[in-house]
Amino acid sequence: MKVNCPNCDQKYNIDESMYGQELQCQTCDKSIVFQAQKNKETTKINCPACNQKYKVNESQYGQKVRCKMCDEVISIEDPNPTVRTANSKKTRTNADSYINTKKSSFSTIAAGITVAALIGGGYFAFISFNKEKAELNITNTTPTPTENYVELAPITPNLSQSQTPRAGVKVAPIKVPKENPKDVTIIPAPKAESNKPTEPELSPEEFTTPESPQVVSISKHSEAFTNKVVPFFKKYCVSCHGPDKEKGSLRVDQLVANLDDDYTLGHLQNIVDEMTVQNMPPEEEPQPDATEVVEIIKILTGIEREVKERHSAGGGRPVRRLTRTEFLNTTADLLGIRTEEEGLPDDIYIGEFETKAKSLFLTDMHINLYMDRSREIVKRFIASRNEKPGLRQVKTTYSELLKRSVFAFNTQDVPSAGHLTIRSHWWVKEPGDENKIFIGPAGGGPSYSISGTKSSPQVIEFTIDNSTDDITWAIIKAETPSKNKLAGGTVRENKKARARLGRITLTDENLITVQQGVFEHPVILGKIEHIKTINPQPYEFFEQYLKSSDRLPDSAAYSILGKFAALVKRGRKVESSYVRRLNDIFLQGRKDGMSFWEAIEEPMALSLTSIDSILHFEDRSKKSREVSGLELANRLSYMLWRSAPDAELVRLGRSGELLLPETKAAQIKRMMENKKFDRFINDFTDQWLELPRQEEIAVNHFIYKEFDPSLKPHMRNETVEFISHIIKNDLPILNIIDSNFLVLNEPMARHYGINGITGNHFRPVKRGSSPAEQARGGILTHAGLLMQGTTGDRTSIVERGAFIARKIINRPPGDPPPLVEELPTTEAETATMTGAELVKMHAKAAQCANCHAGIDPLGMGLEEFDVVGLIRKEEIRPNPIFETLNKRARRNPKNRSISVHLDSRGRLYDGQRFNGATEMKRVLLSKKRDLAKGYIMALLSYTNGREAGLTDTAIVDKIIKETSSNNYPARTIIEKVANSEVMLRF
Amino acid sequence: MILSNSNSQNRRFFLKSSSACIALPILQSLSNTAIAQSSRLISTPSASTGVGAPISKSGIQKRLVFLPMGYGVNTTNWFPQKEGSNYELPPLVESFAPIKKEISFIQDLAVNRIPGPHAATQTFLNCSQEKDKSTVSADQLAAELLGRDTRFDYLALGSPGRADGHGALPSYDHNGKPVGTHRSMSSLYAALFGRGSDPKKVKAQLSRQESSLDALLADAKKLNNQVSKEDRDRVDEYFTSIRNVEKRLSKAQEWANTPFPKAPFRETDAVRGPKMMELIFDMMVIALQTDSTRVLVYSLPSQLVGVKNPHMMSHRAKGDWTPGKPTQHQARDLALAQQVANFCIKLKAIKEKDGTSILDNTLIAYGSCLRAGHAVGRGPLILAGGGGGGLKQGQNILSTRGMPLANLWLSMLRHVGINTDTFANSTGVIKQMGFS
Repeated sequence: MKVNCPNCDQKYNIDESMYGQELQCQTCDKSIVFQAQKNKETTKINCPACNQKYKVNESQYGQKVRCKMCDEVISIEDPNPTVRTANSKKTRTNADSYINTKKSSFSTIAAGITVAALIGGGYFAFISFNKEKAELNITNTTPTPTENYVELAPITPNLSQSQTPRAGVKVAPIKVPKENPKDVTIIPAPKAESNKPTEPELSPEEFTTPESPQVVSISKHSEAFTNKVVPFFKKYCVSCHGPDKEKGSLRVDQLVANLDDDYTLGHLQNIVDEMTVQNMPPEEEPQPDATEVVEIIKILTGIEREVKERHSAGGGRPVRRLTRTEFLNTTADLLGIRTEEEGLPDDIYIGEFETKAKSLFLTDMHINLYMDRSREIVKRFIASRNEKPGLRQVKTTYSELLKRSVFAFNTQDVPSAGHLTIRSHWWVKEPGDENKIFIGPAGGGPSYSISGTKSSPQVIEFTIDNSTDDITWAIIKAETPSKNKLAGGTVRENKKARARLGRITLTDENLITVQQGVFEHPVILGKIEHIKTINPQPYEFFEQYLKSSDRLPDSAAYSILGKFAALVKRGRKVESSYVRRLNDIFLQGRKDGMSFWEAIEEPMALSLTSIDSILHFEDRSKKSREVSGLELANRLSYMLWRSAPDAELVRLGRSGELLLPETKAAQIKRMMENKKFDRFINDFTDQWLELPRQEEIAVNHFIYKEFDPSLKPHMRNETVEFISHIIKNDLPILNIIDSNFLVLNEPMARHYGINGITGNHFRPVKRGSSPAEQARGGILTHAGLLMQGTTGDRTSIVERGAFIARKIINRPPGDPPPLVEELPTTEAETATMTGAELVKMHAKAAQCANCHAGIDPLGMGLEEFDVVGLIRKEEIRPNPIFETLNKRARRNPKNRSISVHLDSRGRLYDGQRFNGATEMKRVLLSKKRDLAKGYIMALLSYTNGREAGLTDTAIVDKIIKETSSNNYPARTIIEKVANSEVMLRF
Repeated sequence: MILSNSNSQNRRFFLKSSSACIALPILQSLSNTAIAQSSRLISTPSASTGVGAPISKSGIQKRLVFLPMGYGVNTTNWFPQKEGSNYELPPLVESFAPIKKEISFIQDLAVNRIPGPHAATQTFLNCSQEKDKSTVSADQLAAELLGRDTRFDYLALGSPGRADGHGALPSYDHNGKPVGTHRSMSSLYAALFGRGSDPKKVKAQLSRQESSLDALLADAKKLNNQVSKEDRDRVDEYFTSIRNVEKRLSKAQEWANTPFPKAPFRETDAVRGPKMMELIFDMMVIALQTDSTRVLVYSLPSQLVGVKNPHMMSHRAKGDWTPGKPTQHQARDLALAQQVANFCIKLKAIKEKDGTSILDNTLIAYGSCLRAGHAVGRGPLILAGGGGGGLKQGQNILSTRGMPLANLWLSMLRHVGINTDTFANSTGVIKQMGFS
């Protein structure tokens, strides 16, 4: 019979004797076991008279039943009688489902991927390791739906349990490969009992995975399953979910501890959920005691976790489209045109990397929007063809005393390819007003203090990428800044202006703070300079064609289109037939009366959405499963630059030189030195640490009156700059837990109450001995991350604990079951409970405590920090009875909140105890290896476009091993991932 | 996010919008020839199958509107209690009072699975039974028939940004590939009202775009043999997307000479929250009124004014009702119901040629796969409108006994003339509503 290798799709002919044997694929070196597929449980039939649908199981084949709707007698026919008699495969029954578990346990030793095969008249390989399927299955938290199938009452007497089950396998048609010259005979590898499978001969260019991960289909928990879960099910569940009733189409007697068993996986989550919220067993039935339930849940979640690890991976690197960020970076780098994000669909799901292929849908909407954007970009690209690259001062205006508090920069000078820098010179009118007057974009965002004098004005410079709109900035005079009113104040909201605003760079260090206010003529704007920066890409692209004149013959279009297509395909081959088609579109445009440059726009724009421009396309027909040099160049570039490879990488890629380890390593070093590497640091940190969550938190401004929401960008940046610092200086990753330095700018330092830091830019400073400084260090005590773990009203011990569990100790907790009660915090009786008392309520329900024991005690360690990340001695919460107060009492702001005693004693899962963040960090440092592991897995997930899992164990362990002596340096680890074979294979 | 006080400047754009569509002259929404055409196109339904027709008895076109909402609802104050027509509207859906006789609550419809704990609408319209794959959605099936005589087969609008609480996208084609939606008001606006160019130029441009797509497809096909089996699915999305764009272009060609309806308000993307929803609903009213399309999908936004963090909100679905002091969840539920009810009421105010209203000839399904929090199934569902007659509206139906949600889509599809006996995991039509 013909089978395919589940890993690489190589086709093989095998015969029946090879079932159950460990085979080794000659192409990809994976171990494969083809097994007998268990039969499908049920068949659907329709009543011939009324069409009512029924589910029947095999034991009912051959019987006659009466339709419940119309009383018609239906005889249940075996859908595949011949097949069933032809082979004697056993059905899954109570008895042999567990035997089954044992029987296949040899594959525990047999590394590789287990493939279950259906046996029938013909054979067909059923690949059961499809990760996505299984993953979906377990995340499906649906309480088992009540199906509309009516249970059948058979007319003939019921078959008793003891009867031999009828063999029955639904047979799917054999998959006949269309043309398969590649069919090869497979060589059975020696049985697993012998010491080590002999390696098959490999051709020299083939890859070997040094330590191929062991993928087993039998759960580690299978013994516990047989000894504990099976008897439990028998005792409490089987009467309703068994051969007799099968409520919710669940038969617990058919569940097995096999990680490949779709049936089991489909039900596990539901069973756990139902037991957790104590829905099952139902009240009227005998109840197991709590410890028993907890034990069962533990075993079942253990199996689930194994499955998740195994199926989230699957190996490889899925083809996916460019993310929005990648597309914009690519067009900016290749064409010199930067356009804004707005208008293209967002790809970010918080908690995932945006590169995750599974979430990167491609629809007609995407094509339409990306095509429109491409047209805009190409239009600007063409328009800039004669603009010589470089800097140009276009205008200087001198201004009078400002009459109003708002002024605007006209940005019509923004070049098509490039940006406009606006340089403004400021000073305060009356000495003594320094540091009290601020300007900032009217759309919100950071603001800047004005502290210049006439003789030495303050220069503020910022950059605009897009033309079209004016930018409005506002000037505000601050009142005496109180302790916390430090960051830039939000001025009136103007979304549009804000969206148009480009990068802002301050040439002056003196950024401080703002508070809204009214003022008269406090500052003087001396002059405004407009400086154009024109990017070289369009000019250089067109230079060869436009030497003498801008008028080109139509015959030039072919060459231009070919060159452009090659550029945006990032070095991939361009078919001449494709260019001819593009040229036809150009000619059609000319016929329709367009000018040369109008007509060439559409075919050029089109190139940006061709299949290998918009997708990370790779030739995957190669047997070696090894990427080409050019493909590697693209992979590295999109990993480290989030953009297209530059000319040097393309050249080295095409020549194949890049595949040489030394060249590759040198290029990786070069890329990490480049400014474009900042994009990686920025985006990776943002997505890894889920920083966009901060935007969702609306801080309760009644309780945190002092907090200015425009500090938020600085809070986020603190974390990014911190990670950037440890990566760029190759510091040990454990600095994330605690560090003897802080990375601060003035607004953040003021927020923390740390003195002596001036200016807008972040810089590393040694952690001093003051309590304010001692409280910080590492990222866990960053105000932004602390705020992430709150509701805006109060801190969330669970959220903060789960963050530590996910990111620091790499023990991600599972999803909560549906409809668990939120911890009550607003009701009067619980409002005065301490955080510790609240989370203790989790412990009351033993089944919740199971997961929360690993989460809540970690969150406790951060309880001494409030919602905005400042140290507190007591917890301030919204007053639960505020609404019931009389009008007068409500006017008193003090009545809006109450204070609650604070408790910050916590514990790590291994029993180590701590009180407060400083102690907790010390305890967490003992888990630095887990942190490093989590970091490497995050890097792999990010670059592979899929979640890292069990198949990546080998590479993770390898890097861990190689870097442990240096305490896991952050930059080295990135380099090692980039140099690893993950980047070379598909 | 400050939503309300940022709009002062833009307010004038929509000041008149709420009444704008009603103020429009009543258009002869559908020409007689079009009716004749549609009846010719559709095989006359045989009485035995019970399949309805795409037009009502008096010749008015039937329309379907799907309004998937993110997350679930505050159940205790959303679902009416008493079965039958003599039920009381709970506080959160009180805004439907003026049209209580024209809506029905269909409770306890079952959805088997959703792809993520909060993906409340990804399987809403397709009831996909497959674990990691979608199947064709009801709106797309309907569009195949109802879209034949209109400028757009269907118009679909998603929430801007990643639809919070929805999951990926609501609409899927026959291959289970997602079908794109308009994401911004301006994009819907441009589609609905056109860009005001000369038809000749538009035609030339369209045909150039069409040959562009041909070029892309031809180029892509050349690379087809380099695609591995694992990646096939994702690469296919590219082909499907291009083909869908192509289909739309060729339809645009056919309609290039037909003038667009006049827009009653100016194009804007600058409004947010309820105001934005109101404008979108107004555009939908116009789309139906002018017969620009007969199938509409709108994924209702989850983030409305007053709701801080929709995800957090969804985890606090419970809460008692105190008049005047809605919880976050209740505030959102109220606002959405208000908007949907207003939409229905506006449709009721617009008369067709035969004296019935648009609402009488439309079926509007408003609901979610999530009941509350992470609870899948038994989601909220209101079916509004007369659907061209023959239905028993004004009920609170509790006796579905976990009937698949697919039964509703099957019912609606058959009602508008789609000749099919099954849809996803359907087991029959919802007879309580009078569907056959």
